[in-house]
Amino acid sequence: MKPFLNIINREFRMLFHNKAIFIFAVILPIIAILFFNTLLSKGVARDLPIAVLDLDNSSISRNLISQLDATPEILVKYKPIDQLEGERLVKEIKAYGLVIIPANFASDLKQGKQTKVINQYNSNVLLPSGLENKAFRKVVATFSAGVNIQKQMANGTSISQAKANFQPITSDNHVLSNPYTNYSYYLNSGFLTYFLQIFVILTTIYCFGVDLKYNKGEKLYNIGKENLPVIIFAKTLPYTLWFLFIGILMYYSMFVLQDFPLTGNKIILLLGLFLLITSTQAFSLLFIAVSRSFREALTFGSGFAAVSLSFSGITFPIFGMPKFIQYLSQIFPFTHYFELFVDQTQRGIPIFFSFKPILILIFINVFVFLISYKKLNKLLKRGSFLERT
Amino acid sequence: MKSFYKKYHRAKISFWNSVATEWNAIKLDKALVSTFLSVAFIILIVYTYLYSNEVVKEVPIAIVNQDASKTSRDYISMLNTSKGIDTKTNYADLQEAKQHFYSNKIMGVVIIPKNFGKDLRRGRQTTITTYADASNMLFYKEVIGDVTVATGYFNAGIVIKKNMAKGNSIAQAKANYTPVQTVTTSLFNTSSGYATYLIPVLTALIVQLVLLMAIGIINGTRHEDNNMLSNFPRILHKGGTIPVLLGKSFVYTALFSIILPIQIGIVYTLFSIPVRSSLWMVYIFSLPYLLAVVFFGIAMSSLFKRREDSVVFIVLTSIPSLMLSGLSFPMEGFPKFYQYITQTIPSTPGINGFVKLTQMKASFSEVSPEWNHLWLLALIYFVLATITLKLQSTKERKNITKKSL
Repeated sequence: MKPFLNIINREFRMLFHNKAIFIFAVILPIIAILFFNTLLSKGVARDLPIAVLDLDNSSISRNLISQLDATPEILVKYKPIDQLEGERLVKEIKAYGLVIIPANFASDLKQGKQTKVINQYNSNVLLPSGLENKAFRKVVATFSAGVNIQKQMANGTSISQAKANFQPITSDNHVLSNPYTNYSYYLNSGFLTYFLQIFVILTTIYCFGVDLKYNKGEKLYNIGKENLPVIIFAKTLPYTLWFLFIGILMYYSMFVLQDFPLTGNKIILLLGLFLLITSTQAFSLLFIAVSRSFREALTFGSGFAAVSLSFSGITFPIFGMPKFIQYLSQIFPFTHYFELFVDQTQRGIPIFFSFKPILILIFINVFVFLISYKKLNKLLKRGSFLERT
Repeated sequence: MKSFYKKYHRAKISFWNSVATEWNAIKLDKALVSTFLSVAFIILIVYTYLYSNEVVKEVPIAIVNQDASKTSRDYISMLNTSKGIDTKTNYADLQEAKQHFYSNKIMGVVIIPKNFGKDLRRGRQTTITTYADASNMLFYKEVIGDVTVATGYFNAGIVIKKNMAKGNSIAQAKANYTPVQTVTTSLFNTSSGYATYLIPVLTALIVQLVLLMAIGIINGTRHEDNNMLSNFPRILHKGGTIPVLLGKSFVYTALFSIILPIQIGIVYTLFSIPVRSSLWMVYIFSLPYLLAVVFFGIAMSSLFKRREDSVVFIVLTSIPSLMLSGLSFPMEGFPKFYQYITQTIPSTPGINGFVKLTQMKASFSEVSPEWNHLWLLALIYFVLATITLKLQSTKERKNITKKSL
């Protein structure tokens, strides 16, 4: 017990003496929580600027423009004089789309001819252009339906019958998990937990690396009475607890301050957080054990933590990736944690279905620890990395 | 005149000396070379491969068919032909579909109500109910989009047939049904592919990542070894910082003018991502970007006390600078404070301009706002870098004189 307490004591002194560890463990997590909670505070993109080229200039075309402007997603900001100028606005990303109302729009409608409204958008900015295009289609479809129904009513059909005639099948769409399609819900929760595991990996590598870079590993080995599990346990436990606290703070910022959906089980969510932290620490130990220098361990660790975001399927769903990448993504603890997180917060599914990620996380924990054990023992006995840089 | 020439001559020597020193420092640092190459090439290739499927296809959804009429089966086969979704029809009721939803086997449920076929024939309105999981926007969009489109076409089919039964021609029936047609064309990235969207952004971001990392590592090492002065002996002469700074930036700019075409040449060709501008245009645009990043890096690098610090700094700032570039989430959605902050980071105009040039076929005058912005940033960071370099070397000299005392 005594060596255990000695190392913990030493760790605390190190936390306040080593600037880097203090920054990673205390200052940056708080900055990250503040940053991501304020960055996407609006969550849903509103009033995206578009350009409208009205070649008709009739009261009907102006009516359509004001309907476009009235949708929450769109703001009619530019009225270019010709198509070239409009396309230029799109190229400069000043406008997310260019809507063109053709000449004779009103007279064609009155004659019962079919007419077209054109939307040129820019898919190189994926998200806003998608929203713009969707809003545009909705407005024009509603406008078109209005014309159709008015015509029918002029023929003496009742409004309810006219609606049924126009649309024999109506859609009743239910948006599960994220009913407001709020981007903040799914991007922020991903980014915040992603950054948490980066901090965990950096802090763990630093707290071992500083000892090993300056040849203090041997000393550590002696304080720990040559008992590796005690050394590892004493060195990582303070940070496990500390990051659990940071994680809870992060959960608090998401679910209490920001009202993110939380429809699942809170205990499982905390267990998932705990397992994410410990399995990330296990991976950090592995990177320390296999590296020849402190910098190398840090490069491996930060690289591993950095790419885990893309492998987790937040940006692009895993089942849409190439098969090889799908298998590779299973290595990352963050992938499993994020699955559990989404299941237990937004999707609100029964606990039973979250046992799978939990079991996988426990397995990763044990397996990674076991394979790094022997090498780590050797490294600590030697007392320093093979190379200084 | 003579003194001016003397000054010029000294500056020239100092410039080429710093070029040689910096180049040797990069060349001899194995770790640096490996990080340089791995981030510049491997990361880019892995990411492109990751997203190489471009769009999400065949999102599995469940169909609960409570009607089992021929009309309902027609509707299902219509859904089936959409690219984005893959229908699984063997569900007896919603409960059964729920189980598979929980275990992530399906991402949505479509319910066809009882009497679907009958109601349609009677001219009564009927309702298709869709449940779509929005925990990921990409597959949510596919599910809801494809179901809406299929329903729309099914509707139109019914109405147009009815209209034709009254003796209208097909063209007239179509015009009656949709008086206003929508024509939507995506000007660039026509399939809304994810790789085509992300990789140009990433290429431009990697320029900043790699350069900051390299500068940080080299400067961190000099910090550790305290050999700033012995490496750049003229740095503390009057006006001596500027040639050193220019020499350093010359090395990095030259390096990247080799790396950039290789990146574009290999990755873009391999994964068929379009490049819609000439290499010269990219060079001209990149010049102020590279300079701004290099000066930014030198100005920042005095913060790094150790070699490793810069690696960490880069990992932490990569995602925020990607977010702040305004290409993943529209700039309009950020609070004002962040809209100002992001203007000071070189990657914001750098990424925007690079994407406009290579993807949107923008002419040079169309990226000139970004280009000017980058020159301005380069100038500001040049001044800052001069100051920090001077401070760093003055400090080092003080330490040396203290020691020798």
